[in-house]
Amino acid sequence: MSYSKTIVLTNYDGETFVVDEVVAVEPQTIEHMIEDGCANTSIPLPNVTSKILSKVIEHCKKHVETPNSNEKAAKADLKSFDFDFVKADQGTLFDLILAMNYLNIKELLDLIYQTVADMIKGKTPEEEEEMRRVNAWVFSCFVGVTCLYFKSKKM
Amino acid sequence: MSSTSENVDDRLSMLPEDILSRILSLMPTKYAVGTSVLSKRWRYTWTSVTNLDFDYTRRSPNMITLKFVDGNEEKFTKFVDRVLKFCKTSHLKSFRLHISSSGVSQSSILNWIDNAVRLNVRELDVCVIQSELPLSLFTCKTLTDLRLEPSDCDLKRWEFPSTIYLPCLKTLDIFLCDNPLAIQGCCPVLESLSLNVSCYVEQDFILNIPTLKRLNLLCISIYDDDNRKIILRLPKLEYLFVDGELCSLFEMEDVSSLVEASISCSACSFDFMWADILNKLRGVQKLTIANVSLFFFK
Repeated sequence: MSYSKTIVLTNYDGETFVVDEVVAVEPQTIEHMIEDGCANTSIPLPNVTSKILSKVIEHCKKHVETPNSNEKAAKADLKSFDFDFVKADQGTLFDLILAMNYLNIKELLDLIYQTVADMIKGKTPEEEEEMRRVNAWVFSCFVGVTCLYFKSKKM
Repeated sequence: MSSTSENVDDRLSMLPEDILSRILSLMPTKYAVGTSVLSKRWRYTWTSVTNLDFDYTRRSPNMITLKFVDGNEEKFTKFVDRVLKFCKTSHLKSFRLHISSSGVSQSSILNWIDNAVRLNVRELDVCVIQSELPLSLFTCKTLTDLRLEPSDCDLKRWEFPSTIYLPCLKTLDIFLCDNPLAIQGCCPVLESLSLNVSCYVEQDFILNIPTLKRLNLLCISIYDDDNRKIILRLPKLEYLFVDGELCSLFEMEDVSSLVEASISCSACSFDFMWADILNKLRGVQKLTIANVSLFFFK
């Protein structure tokens, strides 16, 4: 059994969260604090409420626990987890943006930004996903059309 | 207005400027610019976007771009001109220009792409009817991703100029190009390449790019008795995808780093070509083979 170090995070409300170090270093900000030796007692995260912090920890845990493999099933599972994760009310979404921006979790930030962008455009994430799927199909049609075109020119 | 909805509105407006510009960068530019009418706070927010995305296409029900003219070309041209004039970024992350209207002038399109190059564009995605491109594009020092696609079924072909130097280019997708081999030696860090092999000359197609990791070939046969060979000198190649028609013999000099290969080609009159390519791909970790009929597309 490998030795697993834990890290204590203290949030805005003074509540403490004990998490494994492997989970805690997912956010780059915390990773840098640990590297700089600021993590001896507990890491203060004054900008983050407990509701948001537990959501962030839930996200980091899921990403750490999912094996980093090329397996389609694992990837799809993680993707649907992330999709569900950002299906929050607008208030939570904006709290998450500020927290994620502070903690510097890039991957999830990208997804949240895209979600807000889709909201501004008036589309749901599902509709956008469908658009991207259609675009992938366009290419395969293009290949076919191109071949036919060249065939006809050959005559 | 109720206090809750007021709060919700405020939350978005209260986000820091850099976050908003990132969010506005993730949508087609017309939506981003559209936010300028929301309030004074939003008036100039869009000008710090780092991605520009202009789409003036029409598509058939099966999503193939159609050539059209609808009379709004002048408006579109003015819009793009103004966006490029007011856009504050000096480091454009991506520039996407898809146009299938034949009413947009060639000179405007050349000018826009040239502007993107001046703004140090990194990812450029162009799908237009014309086949001319500004020369500045081919010596762009910042470009990492380039995608060139003809927009309609006239399928005019691109042609590379004699001077090319793209020092940062990692990904190149080019469909229908007269001289795709011209890029050899001009892109020192190229890792991913998609192109068509549709030669009009009866010469072997020799691809020699020492840095290439991913290759997507679209093969189109012109002559039924095609004796040309496709010769790949790609020592670092990890992924190979072949589409279209299997019509030439492959010669691969070193496939030791190949991880995955996918050959999905239409039925070929010569079974020995299948046998040949399968033989060459022995030892690859993951192999996908599909015999696709082109009749599906008719």
